Amino acid sequence: MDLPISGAVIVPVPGREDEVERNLRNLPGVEVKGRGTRGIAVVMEGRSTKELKKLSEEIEKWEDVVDFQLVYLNVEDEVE
Amino acid sequence: MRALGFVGTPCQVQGLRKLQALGRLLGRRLVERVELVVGLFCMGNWSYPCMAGFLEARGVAPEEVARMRISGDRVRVSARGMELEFPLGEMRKYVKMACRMCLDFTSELADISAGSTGSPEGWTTLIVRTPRGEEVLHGAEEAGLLELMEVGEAGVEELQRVARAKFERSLRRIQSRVEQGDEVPHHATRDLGSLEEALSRTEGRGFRELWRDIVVSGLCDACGACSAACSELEMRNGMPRLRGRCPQDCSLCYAACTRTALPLRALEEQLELGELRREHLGRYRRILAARATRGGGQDGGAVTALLKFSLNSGVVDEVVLTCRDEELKPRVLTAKREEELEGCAGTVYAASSPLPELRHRVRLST
Ligand SMILES: Cc1cc2nc3c(=O)[nH]c(=O)nc-3n(C[C@H](O)[C@H](O)[C@H](O)COP(=O)(O)OP(=O)(O)OC[C@H]3O[C@@H](n4cnc5c(N)ncnc54)[C@H](O)[C@@H]3O)c2cc1C
Ligand code: SF4
Ligand code: SF4
Ligand code: SF4
Repeated sequence: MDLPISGAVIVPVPGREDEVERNLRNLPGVEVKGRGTRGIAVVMEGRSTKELKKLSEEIEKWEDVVDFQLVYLNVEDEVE
Repeated sequence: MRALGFVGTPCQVQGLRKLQALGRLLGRRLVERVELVVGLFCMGNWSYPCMAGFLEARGVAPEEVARMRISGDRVRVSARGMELEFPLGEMRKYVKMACRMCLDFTSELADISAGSTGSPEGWTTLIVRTPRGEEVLHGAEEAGLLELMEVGEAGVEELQRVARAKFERSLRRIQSRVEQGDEVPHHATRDLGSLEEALSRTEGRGFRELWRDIVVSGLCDACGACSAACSELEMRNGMPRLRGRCPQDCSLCYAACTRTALPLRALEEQLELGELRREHLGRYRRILAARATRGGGQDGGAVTALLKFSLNSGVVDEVVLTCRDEELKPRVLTAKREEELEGCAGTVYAASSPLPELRHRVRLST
């Protein structure tokens, strides 16, 4: 089975960083890797690409999020 | 108007060919005067952070890497004067998702395709596809830049075996996505008879849809055709981003993207491809092995030698290609001199986005 995984940087509205980080930490499948000047780095995992896409689209829609920058999108191998 | 050369992976070559066909169809100048297209063989690629992260996790800083190559199931890295080896399997899991659904191994739409598969070490296998490919190969040999050798049926069969393996693996993944209700348009549109027919499926969809259907869906290969078609877009981290305004009634980026529709057969018809055809290798004139008589390269250095001949003989005035920077990051460069070509020899195992630069060169030269 495919295990899709992606890395992204989420840029919060200035002053809303803590709230966005808290919300990200509450999302299943999202791991917060750290916070830098560019934004909050996350790794997201899903059981399917559809699930991962939904997750990305949801975060993109948050009012406190200015930008959602996808850095990579991979999929762990099925046995090849 | 200056004549351009281009080197790229199969998906980048597809992006270029689609832009050319789209330009003709719409009567717009997108990427004209590309006189030579060298396509590489490609099993898969990495986004830079993943490739760099892979090396760093093994104690190798990307800037220390002198040379990197994938050979069989091993990744070989020369760094700090040492030769290191890792199983390819460890790196393969970071391959871009788009590569897992890519069906072209040998750059079927290039003038001439190049890779190591099918040839002995130190040689490059070349698939000569068009009269232009034939002309530069012949010229480079005559000029003493290239040495040629037969690959034989065994070499061609090996090439076909690898190309088929990639195709079948990708097809399995595509089918499983389709079964889950996802669309994989570059596969669904492969056999359409014309670009118009393919484009009718993209009407009314703009950047928002491109982002949703292709980028976030893991189909984007980073080629940059969308950004080449529209100056409101730029490539960031190998993904298109909107930097300007996006009018409601426009869908050029969606139309330009090879992942939204790729009528491969129709694009083939626009090229003077040879009459020979093998499944998964595309149409061609001949397949042989070549090696440069001087200068280095990833395998036989044949790509760089072909480009040198093309530049020196005036077939092209400049070449858009991918180099590495000090940190092993892919950097798109326009080479006008032999030394610049030599500086770009070797493979960078990270995806570049060369098509916006190609478009930029076309704009500058008209
Ligand atoms: C990501 C990737 C995966 C590959 N996988 C395979 C494979 O599985 N099997 C196989 O047989 N061959 C593969 N190749 C091709 C192979 O690595 C050599 O490029 C090819 O054999 C030509 O060797 P050469 O010595 O003649 O080229 P050289 O003379 O060394 O010239 C190499 C050319 O490749 C261009 N280039 C380097 N990196 C990139 C990049 N990331 N994107 C676009 N262009 C680039 C350079 O600009 C240069 O012009 C791959 C290439 C790439 C870029
Ligand atoms: S999509 Fe990936 S595997 Fe296919 S040609 Fe591009 S880089 Fe290579
Ligand atoms: S303006 Fe540019 S980004 Fe917007 S839909 Fe048109 S081509 Fe795409
Ligand atoms: S979205 Fe843009 S960069 Fe990605 S595959 Fe399509 S044209 Fe290429």
